[in-house]
Amino acid sequence: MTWREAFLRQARIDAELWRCLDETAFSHQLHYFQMVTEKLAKGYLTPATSAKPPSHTHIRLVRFMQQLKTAPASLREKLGFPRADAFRAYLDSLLPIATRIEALAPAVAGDNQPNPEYPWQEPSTGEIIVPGEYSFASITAEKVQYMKLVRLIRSVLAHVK
Amino acid sequence: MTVEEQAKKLAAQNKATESKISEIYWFPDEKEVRLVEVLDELPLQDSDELEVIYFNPEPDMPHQMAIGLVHPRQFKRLTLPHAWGTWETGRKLEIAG
Repeated sequence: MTWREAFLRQARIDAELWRCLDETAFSHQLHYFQMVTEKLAKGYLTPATSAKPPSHTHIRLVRFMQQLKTAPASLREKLGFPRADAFRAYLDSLLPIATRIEALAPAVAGDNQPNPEYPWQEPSTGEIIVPGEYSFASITAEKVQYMKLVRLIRSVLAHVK
Repeated sequence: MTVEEQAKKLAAQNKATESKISEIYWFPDEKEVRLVEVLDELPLQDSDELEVIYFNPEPDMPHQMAIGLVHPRQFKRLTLPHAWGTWETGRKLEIAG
């Protein structure tokens, strides 16, 4: 098995659990969504012939979405976009929310920014926050964008070979 | 369909759908379509190697595809992926826009 195939397969396996989390704390949904998108992006950004695993960076989703604009028309149409300009506009509109999802990885967020996995300290108040009890308002404030991104990722996952 | 034919078809598709692509280069390979598309409405890369997305074959595109987007300021300044050769091996495709 190649590294590319392994990352794409694990993204689909993570997504099986992610889809079961709709009734759970939003932090659980975000935790798995971030992991699914990272692995999916790494899979697509890794050549089929690569003998090396992708780098350990967590910053891959936005780059993946920018590059996805170059998808062949047949794949774009399978994803539900007969028109290329609409596909590009859709992807561009989701880059801000994708940037926020990318930043949820604990290694990116650090000890002072929200992440869905580990408690962190709010710098302005000094309060220590439990992810499972946090609102993630920066994500929920853009719920439509979040839902559009979820829809896109589900569609891409459905067409991973 | 040969790799070159598919490269030109994919380049034409992308140019037709993104008018801001200024140039497209094809890096010949026997099995894989390898394109670099120059686009100025693109954030600069913060890594040294050109980042590429890989698409599996489609029914009308039988060869594996690899496409990199590059900002004009980073054109020929980034390292190409392993086995792509040098920037000089890239052939500019004349695509009607």
